[in-house]
Amino acid sequence: MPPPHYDFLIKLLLIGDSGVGKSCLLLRFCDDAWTPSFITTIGIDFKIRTIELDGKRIKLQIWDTAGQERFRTITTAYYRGAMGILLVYDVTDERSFNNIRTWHANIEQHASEGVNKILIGNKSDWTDKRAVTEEQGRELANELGIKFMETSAKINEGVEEAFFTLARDIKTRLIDSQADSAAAGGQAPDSVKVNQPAAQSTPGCCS
Amino acid sequence: MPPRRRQQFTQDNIDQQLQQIHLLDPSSSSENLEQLGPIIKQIHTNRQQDAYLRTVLGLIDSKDAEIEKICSDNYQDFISSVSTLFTVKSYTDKMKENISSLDASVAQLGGSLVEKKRALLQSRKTAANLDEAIDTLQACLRVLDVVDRVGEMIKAGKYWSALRSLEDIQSMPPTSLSQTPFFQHLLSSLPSLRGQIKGAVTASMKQWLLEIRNISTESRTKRWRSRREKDPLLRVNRVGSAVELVTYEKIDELRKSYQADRKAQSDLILPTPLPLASIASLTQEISGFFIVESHLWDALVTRLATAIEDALRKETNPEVFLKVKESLLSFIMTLETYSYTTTSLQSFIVVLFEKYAKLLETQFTKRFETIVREDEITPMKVDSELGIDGILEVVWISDNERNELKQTPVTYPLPWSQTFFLCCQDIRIFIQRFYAFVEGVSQHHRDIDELLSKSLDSLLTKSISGPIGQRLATTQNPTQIAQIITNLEHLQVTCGELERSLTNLRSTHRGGTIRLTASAALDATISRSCARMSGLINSKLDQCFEFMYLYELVNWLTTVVDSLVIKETYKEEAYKGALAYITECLMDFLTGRDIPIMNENAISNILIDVDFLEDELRRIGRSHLSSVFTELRLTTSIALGGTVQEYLVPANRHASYATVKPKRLQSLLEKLARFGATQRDAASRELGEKRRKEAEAVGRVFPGENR
Repeated sequence: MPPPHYDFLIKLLLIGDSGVGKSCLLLRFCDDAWTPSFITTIGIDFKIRTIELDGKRIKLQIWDTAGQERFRTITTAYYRGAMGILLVYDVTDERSFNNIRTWHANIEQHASEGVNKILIGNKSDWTDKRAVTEEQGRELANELGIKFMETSAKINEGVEEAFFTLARDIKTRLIDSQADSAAAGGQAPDSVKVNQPAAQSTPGCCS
Repeated sequence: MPPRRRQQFTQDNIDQQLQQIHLLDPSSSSENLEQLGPIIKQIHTNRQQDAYLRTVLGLIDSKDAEIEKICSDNYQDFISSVSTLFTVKSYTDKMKENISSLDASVAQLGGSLVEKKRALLQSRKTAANLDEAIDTLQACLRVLDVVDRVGEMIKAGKYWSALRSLEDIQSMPPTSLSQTPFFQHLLSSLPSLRGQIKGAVTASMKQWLLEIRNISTESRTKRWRSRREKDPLLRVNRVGSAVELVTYEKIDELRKSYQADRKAQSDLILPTPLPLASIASLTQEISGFFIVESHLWDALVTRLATAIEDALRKETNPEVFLKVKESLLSFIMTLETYSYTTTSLQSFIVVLFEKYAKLLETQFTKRFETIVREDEITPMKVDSELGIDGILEVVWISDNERNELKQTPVTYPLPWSQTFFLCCQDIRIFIQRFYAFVEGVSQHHRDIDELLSKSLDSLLTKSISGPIGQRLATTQNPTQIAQIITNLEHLQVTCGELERSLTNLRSTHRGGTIRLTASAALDATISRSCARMSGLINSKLDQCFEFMYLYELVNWLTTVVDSLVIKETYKEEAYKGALAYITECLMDFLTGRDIPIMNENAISNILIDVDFLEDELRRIGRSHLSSVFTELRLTTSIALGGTVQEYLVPANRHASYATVKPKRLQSLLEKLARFGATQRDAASRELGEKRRKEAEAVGRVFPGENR
């Protein structure tokens, strides 16, 4: 296997109600594509995109979770490994907005402490169906003490900014503060790899 | 006013004045009294009334005296003339009397004369009417005579003349007779006369035929048989058939010229190019024209077929073919009523049908391709419009599944996606359109069924299975691939059900079983789908390997594969593929070229990973899949356990280490040897050297087993 072509690895997680557009955001951000058809995510999926921040190549490993309740057990298992979480709701669906508090509570319960979060109001292009104002979104984000952004995966608005903002926050929190210790290994402590088992204790036993 | 000189009236003045008023003019019968006014006025103006009156009185007196003088001279003559006049008057009265008596007697005589004259005129009128009646009756008699003669002609067997006479009567120039009820009655009786003629003709014909048959059946049979043997054309005709009669009637010449005429007409009857819109009326015309002439039949049918083929050459709408066929079919039916052979037309319909089928196929190819292209490849939901029953009516599925689906809740998604449902629906429409052409065609069922199975096969293979296969390449989601596989499996069931129901459908006709071979194509597409699924999973695994904990990787794999709505065998295959891939990656780490040097700890770590994977497989109930690690476990055990010498013995190798590839074992030993060479302590270096030699031995002894 060739050596990795990146400096840091960041794991992100997308959560939110079914149908708010998590998979579409991911498809837009990683493949710059869009599909109108609604395909329920089964359990969990992930995609990779390498970005550059301050001259560093950062590999984003983004986990896309199923919004449906029946997959809740499977998806919560992925909270712990995440360094950043995108809480997504649909601006045309008030219910999905109201559920953000529940999702936030889930993070508090299952994710690592200090994980970076961002609130995303997706489908901002659908103005005539809008049910949640930008102001409402911002207020909720302030209340939760997190950043906020409206996006449209369909017309590719705000998607890049959302992921970049979150990635930058994580970089600041995890990498820049540990720059000295990380510089030696060139790796964040979380990024353990199966193809370098000699350098790490085997992760297989932690499951 | 100055005194004027008073005018003196004289006799002359008065005369002159009276003259002016014509009183004294004997030649004038009237009086010119207009002059009187001015005269009186003048008198009055001059105040000479008295003088004037005096003068006038004088004049009157003189005139009276003049009259008296005349009278006294002539009264004797006057008296005598009066008496003469009395005499004349008495004569006149007498004469008047005579005249009136004469008049009375003349009037008496004239009265009777007038009576006689009137009677005479009346007689003359009657005579004219009689003449007219006689004429009319004579005209009627002439007509009646003709009619009577018609009757006689019928009796005499002169039917044609009789018909001609009837024709004459009908086309007689309009005469006074034309308007009479008699003539109208006569005209109205003509059809019945014609009927009589017809009856008589038929009767005499029958009589004639009967006589012929009675008189000479035997001799004719002999004669006809020899004739028939000479002329193959006559072979099919019986004795007594029209052909036989005509043959011996020796009217060949007439027949030839008649045929030539009809041939010319038959050439003209088909317009070029043939307007397809008028094909129905055209075939009707042809039927009318040719219904009695079989000798032109073959030529005409060929020409008709060619003309239709030409007209249809650029036609792409199958509906047009269908209409042409319907026209031809009623044509054929008409001809069959008269026992004409329609084999060539039937064959032509089959030719048309092949083209129709091809066009239909092209049309549906597009439809199927669109269906596959536009499908979202997500489970279809029961739509309220059709309902589950409506959907189950359209699709071909196994009875078991049908029963299961009838009991599942309406909100539950169906196993298949839109593609399967819409394809079934269109296949039904296709079959319906296909058989619409066969409707009424009694022959060639076997050909048509063959065509149908070919078309269906081709559609299922090229237009459904093919595009689905192409769609795989752009489908990224394992869930969708699973949906595609499920669709394909349902389509396979459809193939079987189609064969069955199509064969049943036709059980009332003759014809064989319908066999579809598209199943193989669907199989191939299923295999491609599985390969695509493996490819997708492997590429994800690739990404996992790069930076993921093994437990995360396994978590992801089990989540994805177990969540697929797909048959267990496919999940098993997916796991097998994924584990093979994981094993290959681990083997590549151990024996591949990327890592040149390795110590025993590295191998141990890999083995711990393998232990973990085996645990996981046990947890998900798929321990049997652990066999995938056999090669890795054996290869590492040989290297770590120092049993290379044992391996070098062929018998052992075949018995216990069949899965171990020597080349890989060699590579692993080399990596360990390199590590040994880097060590400072003697033991390690020695072990390294030993492994280098073992590697050489493994590589040298089995050059044939390159891998």
